[in-house]
Amino acid sequence: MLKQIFPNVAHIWPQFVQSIWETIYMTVWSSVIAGVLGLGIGIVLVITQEGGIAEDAYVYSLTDKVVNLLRSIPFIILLAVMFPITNFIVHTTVGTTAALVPLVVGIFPFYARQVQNALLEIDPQVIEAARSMGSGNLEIIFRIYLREGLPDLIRASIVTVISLIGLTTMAGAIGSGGLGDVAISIGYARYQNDVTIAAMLVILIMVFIVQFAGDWLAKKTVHL
Amino acid sequence: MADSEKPIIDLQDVSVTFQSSGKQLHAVNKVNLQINKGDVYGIIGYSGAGKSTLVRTINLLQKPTSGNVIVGNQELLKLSNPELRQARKKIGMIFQHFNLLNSRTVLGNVEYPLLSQRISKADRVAKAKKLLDLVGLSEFERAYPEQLSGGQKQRVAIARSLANDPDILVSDEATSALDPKTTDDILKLLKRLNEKLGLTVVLITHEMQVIKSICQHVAVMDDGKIIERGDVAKVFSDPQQALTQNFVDSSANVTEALAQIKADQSLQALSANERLLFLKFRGQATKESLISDLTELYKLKANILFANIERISSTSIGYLIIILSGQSKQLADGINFLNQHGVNVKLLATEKKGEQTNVKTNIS
Repeated sequence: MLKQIFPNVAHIWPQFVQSIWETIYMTVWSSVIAGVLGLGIGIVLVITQEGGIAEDAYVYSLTDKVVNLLRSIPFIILLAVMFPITNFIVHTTVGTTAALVPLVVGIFPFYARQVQNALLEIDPQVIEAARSMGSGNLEIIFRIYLREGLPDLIRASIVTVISLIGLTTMAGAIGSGGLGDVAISIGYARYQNDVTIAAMLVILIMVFIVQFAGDWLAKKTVHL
Repeated sequence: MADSEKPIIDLQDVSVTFQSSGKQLHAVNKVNLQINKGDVYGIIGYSGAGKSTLVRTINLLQKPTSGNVIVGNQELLKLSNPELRQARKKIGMIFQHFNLLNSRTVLGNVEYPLLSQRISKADRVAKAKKLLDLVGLSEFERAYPEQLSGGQKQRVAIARSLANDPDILVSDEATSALDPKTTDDILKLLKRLNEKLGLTVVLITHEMQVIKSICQHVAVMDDGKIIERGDVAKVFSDPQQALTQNFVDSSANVTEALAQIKADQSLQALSANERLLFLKFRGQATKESLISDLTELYKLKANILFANIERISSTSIGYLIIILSGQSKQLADGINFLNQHGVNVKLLATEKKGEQTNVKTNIS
């Protein structure tokens, strides 16, 4: 059946399967790295802003500006701009590992903003109550912010991972490998539309799985 | 201070000034406040009076712009951060909106302040359970805050505030979001904790009823200053300030009654030998039969429109709004008689406007 509907996909089947794994590889690793970075910077934004538990106008404004700057660079340009830096960090500019560098830089500012917004949802009076109980800043971050904000953080993470899957395909334009690469270099360049459509379908399935798993998790953490 | 013992809370010349768009706002203006151990001290005032800001200086949630904060012999402003956190653990605090952690169970909320203590999990859980038992919520330990009523949430907050065995409990409008019955239950609980644990309670409110039901001492706050303070019975039975009087009157529903009577046109249309009077009796005067004396001695008739007695600890304050009718000479004599017996008489209306000012100077 595969041969009838997707003849060209069947023809490159091993490469197609390989590209699925490459997309998963890029998504998972850049999620993990950008997740840690974005979470950290989101927390810095929340605690250093005016009225935050570690208010610091200088740190806040610097962080805020860096995040804004990085967010305003279009990803396709970021890919090109990052070439020398990528080369310096991973000693290559092609392949999935090389793609991780621009992917992380492209997504962590976005995630940091999402984290910031999620944590700002927490009632400042709850933070004040924690301070009245003698909680220190680290305690407030780990036991209040990250815990009370968990449902919103999970939702923010779903949105981010889904955006990231989109970015991995764009990285295909510079030869990162993965489904985007297959769709562009084979489906688009050789007019093999069935390859493009197959790549799209696999990506849709990935997005659905992330969305479904995330919603389920978020629901589990809300106690009404 | 009459007590030789040092006060547990000693706020000296505390000021808090906020800057907002170039203007300086003196939320708290050079306040001195001493609260003794074991006291239930109420701070009453309307919103914006600065009472919330003032009590937040007790645990330095709000740093004073100037002044000194001494709690349990410690000068809080001189403490290092870790020392201050330790000091805060001995000052429990509850809030109007409870401020519970929605991601944790009721038990988890009470355990929270103990997470930073070096005690075993079993000890922590045992202590939290004991506290929930103390506030009467044992069967709800597995519930989440969102599943509880307001009164139950406040009980959880109280249990949580007691987890570190504080010496002081600060209540920031803790009953303002609750209905009267629940308010009463929570106040009773606070009183019980005060008696049972020797907890010093500082509570702020805009409701006189709250002060009357559990406080021993009260401070009346207005515009960042304490304008009147002392023993609850003394302050409210003989208010020196108009604002204090205002709280007493509205608590006895007098303000409402006066407004209604003033709005009633039929009551304004008095004949020449009628007077609409507002009488306030205090202490001994409430126990004498002055109204029947008026009838017997001066042949005056009293038509009672409103009557209420407000009891503040052992002192009673009576309020009467009456229409007194009789001959004008006897009316004047009768009013004089009331004045002599310690009744505060205020003339609300007579037949003509010119006459009203005359009589007013006569009686006041």
